[in-house]
Amino acid sequence: MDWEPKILVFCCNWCSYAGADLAGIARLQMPTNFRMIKVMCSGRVDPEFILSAFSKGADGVLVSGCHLADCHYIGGNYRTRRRIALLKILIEQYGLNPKRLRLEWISAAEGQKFAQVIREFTEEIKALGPSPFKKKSALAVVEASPTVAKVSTAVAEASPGT
Amino acid sequence: MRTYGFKEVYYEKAREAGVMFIRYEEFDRPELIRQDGELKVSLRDPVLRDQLIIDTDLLILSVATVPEPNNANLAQMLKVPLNSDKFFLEAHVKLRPVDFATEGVFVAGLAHSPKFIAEAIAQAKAAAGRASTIISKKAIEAEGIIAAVNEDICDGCGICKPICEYKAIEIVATEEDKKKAEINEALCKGCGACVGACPSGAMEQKGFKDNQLMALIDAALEETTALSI
Ligand code: FES
Repeated sequence: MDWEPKILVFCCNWCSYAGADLAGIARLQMPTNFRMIKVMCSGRVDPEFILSAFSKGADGVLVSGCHLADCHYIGGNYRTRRRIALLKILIEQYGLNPKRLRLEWISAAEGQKFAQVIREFTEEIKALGPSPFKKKSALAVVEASPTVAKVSTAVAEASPGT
Repeated sequence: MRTYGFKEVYYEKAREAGVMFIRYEEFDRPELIRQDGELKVSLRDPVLRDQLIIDTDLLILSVATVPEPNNANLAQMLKVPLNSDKFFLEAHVKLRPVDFATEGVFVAGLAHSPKFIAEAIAQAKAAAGRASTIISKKAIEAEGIIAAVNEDICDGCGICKPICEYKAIEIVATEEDKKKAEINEALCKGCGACVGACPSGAMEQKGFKDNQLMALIDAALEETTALSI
């Protein structure tokens, strides 16, 4: 069977989710490799979600929020930006290519951009190949939850303040 | 030729009066040229598939409706989106045409897009109707999706406090001489930024709890055969 990547997309309720909706209304063509999870703000995306998604075999994770300064909750996406920057360093230490984690700002009007990002990201992930965590043995290592908990603590501590 | 809205009658009248309409492709727009000291219009007619040069006695250009330049500032102030042309963008083209996603802000008229006055009036009526659904109420119920602290787990570390944009979190002392976070439920807007940051998992967002989102993640990544068809 041909390998098809699995991509998890976190979208904030106010911009990116509406942008994705717009892409749908406009019937834009996109690969179907992604599954979307709506959160109220991209700032809600707990580092633990991303790590656990990778540990469960996601080949790529996309976090998408409102453009900077446009966040519905004033500055949630600034927190997101810091967290993702740290997480990229972190997942690299786990042996994942940091390109597997992507952060995008997509507004409610940018259906085109949403489709474009999904297309690009899917291509990129296809080129990178399956996640090394897909293998069951590697899965167990990361799923040992104390590690994940500790890691998310470290990220949380690094992110207070603006 | 297809006219906008119910303007077919005008098109018919114009045709009867001898007006010629010529189409052009979007990527191949008409150009103004000067030929032998005269102003002419040069364009490619996609029907004839030929270049036309039209002499002019009088050239009248239809002026574009441009958005108010200040829209961007207003949009940021009210936390409402603009479309790529810098007009205001409604919450949903079909389902919520005069609402914004932001509660209590509505759109009508040229702020939304170029339109005829009849449409602007209809839209304004709709917006007024939507607004009256709010002002006719004695009290407004606050959002249900807000943060909540699990006091058994919270250590009062205070990481959440500076993260809150609405100053809704206080670190207070408990009776047992411990500290914990306390949320002002009226101030909390429910973004969940503090929940994402809480290292001990004591902070929860109602409706978007950690275990609920984890269940979503699990379901999304489940190995199914359905995916590969
Ligand atoms: S609401 Fe979209 S990023 Fe905060």
